[in-house]
Amino acid sequence: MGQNDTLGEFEHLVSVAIMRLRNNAYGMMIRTEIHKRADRDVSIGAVYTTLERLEQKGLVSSRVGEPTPERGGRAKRYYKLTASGVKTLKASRGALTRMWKGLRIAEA
Amino acid sequence: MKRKDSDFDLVRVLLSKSYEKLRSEGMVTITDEALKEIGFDKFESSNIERENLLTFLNGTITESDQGVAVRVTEAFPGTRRTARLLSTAGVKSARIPEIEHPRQDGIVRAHLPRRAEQLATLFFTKHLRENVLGDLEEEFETIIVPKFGVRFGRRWYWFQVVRSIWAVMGASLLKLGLIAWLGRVASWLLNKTSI
Repeated sequence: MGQNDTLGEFEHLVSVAIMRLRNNAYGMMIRTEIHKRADRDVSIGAVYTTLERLEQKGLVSSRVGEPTPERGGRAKRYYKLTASGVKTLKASRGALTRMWKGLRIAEA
Repeated sequence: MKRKDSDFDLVRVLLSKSYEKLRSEGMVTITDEALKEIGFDKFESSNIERENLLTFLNGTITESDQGVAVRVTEAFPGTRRTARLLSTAGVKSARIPEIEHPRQDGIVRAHLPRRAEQLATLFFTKHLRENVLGDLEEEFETIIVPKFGVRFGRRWYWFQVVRSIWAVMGASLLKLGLIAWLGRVASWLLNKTSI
């Protein structure tokens, strides 16, 4: 299995957030989604570093949207999973599911 | 190419001409005719999908070698305006300080801590800077300040910039540290084998 076929934990979270947000997946929304669902307060820099890495791996693609006033005239960059990204995400989830199958964690 | 003070006057004209519409909509598109009047050849105002959008940080406008597109954004009504020149060659912007206009809507928008923004410029690539600072400004304007106030908002912004710099630079520093450590190990091994 090559490096492109695996996802780190944070890459996994970012990929799922992109999938959830569909057409509205840009940095701030991805960060908010991860905070809301995974209870992880991550920096926007960490999100973009991961997005750049995923893009280099060919797992996500991006497009630049319209500049908006509330962003000081800057444009949003929207991300979406590529076919390869979806496949990798499924494989990553499958691996986790298989690892957890039949396993119980005793309550402390 | 750095432009002269007179070029700022052109942008000031753009700002003043479009002020009413700008104030009501938050953003305005200048017409071809208005642009030609003040000496620009061509501009576009929508569907800007450029890779090389630059963040404005100071009062310089750089000449573009293709048709010029202009978008004027009222980033800080009443106290400060931001004028942006967009082109197929890139985006160059100018901050226009202190243009007096009466505040009629009663809305006071907060000032971003510009030093934090400048700090980010030192560490982020152009591409990353546009995305990170845009997102932070959006969250600052639409969520943090309305919810927690300007004072908290400014602290929050600083904190986010520093965190983001650490997130971006941290990985590079770790790599450098690893390379240095491997170098030391290699040097130790060489010394040992030579004895």
